[in-house]
Amino acid sequence: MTATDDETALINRARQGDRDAFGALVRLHEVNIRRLAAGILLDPVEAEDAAQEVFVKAWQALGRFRGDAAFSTWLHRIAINHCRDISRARSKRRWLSWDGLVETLGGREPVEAAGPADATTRGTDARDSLRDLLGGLPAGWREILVLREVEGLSYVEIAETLDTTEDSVRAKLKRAREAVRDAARHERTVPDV
Amino acid sequence: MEHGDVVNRLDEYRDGELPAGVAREIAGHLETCSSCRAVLDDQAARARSLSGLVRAQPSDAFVRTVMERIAAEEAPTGVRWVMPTLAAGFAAASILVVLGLSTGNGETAASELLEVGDREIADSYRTIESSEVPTHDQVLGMLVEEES
Repeated sequence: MTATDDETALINRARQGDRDAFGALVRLHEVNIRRLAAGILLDPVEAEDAAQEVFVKAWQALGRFRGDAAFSTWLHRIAINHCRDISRARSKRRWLSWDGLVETLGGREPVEAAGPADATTRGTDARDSLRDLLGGLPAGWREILVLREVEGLSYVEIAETLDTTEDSVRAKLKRAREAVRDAARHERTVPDV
Repeated sequence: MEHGDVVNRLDEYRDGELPAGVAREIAGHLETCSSCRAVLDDQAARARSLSGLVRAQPSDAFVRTVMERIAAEEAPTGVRWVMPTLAAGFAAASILVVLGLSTGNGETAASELLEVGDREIADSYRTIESSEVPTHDQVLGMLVEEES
């Protein structure tokens, strides 16, 4: 029996209400969904909660999974949609918040003075800068970049997940990478590994 | 393939998304072009940085929490059925009590009127009862008014 056969068997059992089978599916896919949520939301706590919610939604919608796409693609799609909902809610909250008001008025909140950089903080700073770069991208570009660079999906799989064409994925991925490259060149803070 | 074309397609080459012939051509170019190799290395490093930004390890706690949330989502489903049913039952009971009380008063008033043989007035009282539910004293007051 192959891994795919195993997964199909688990899906069939889960569709009949077998929670243990669904638990096994969660175990198979949790790392990918947590990474995807973290890459899109860029907030570890929010991402962890979002990833949990993705599986709850998947359990509730399992009856509608027809198997046209791979189970992983279906999960990714739920995750992307859920992260979009969260981002929209976050934007709305921010728009109504004090931070949002300060931003709208063009002001800046005072920033805590940073201590002298050492080997430990340099890595953190670089990661923060990279996170900022990623966060500064349009949501659609960030989704594609994360699906490709973090999840390692092919262009076809990304197109299936986002319900778009392969050409569109190719074009947006190129622009997203160029934007990161340009920003990194400008900031000179993207860490070399 | 020109050097500039190769540079433009290095991302797709690294992604393994080029037709085999084009990929072979780029691989040949990379063997002789250190500049393109440097660009490719730079792109690969940046990709590793991005993927390293969001690491996740398998987590039993995560799986457990998800399954607990699913169980909790399903348990309230029962509660969601029970609570509205109880609420609806309570509301229905309240309405019946109110109606019962008013009907009781009305029946009493109506039988008293029937005892005096005035069916017409009793029927009109029933009509009034179904709309505004007047008190016993109000009905008697209305009858007194009609008689006078």
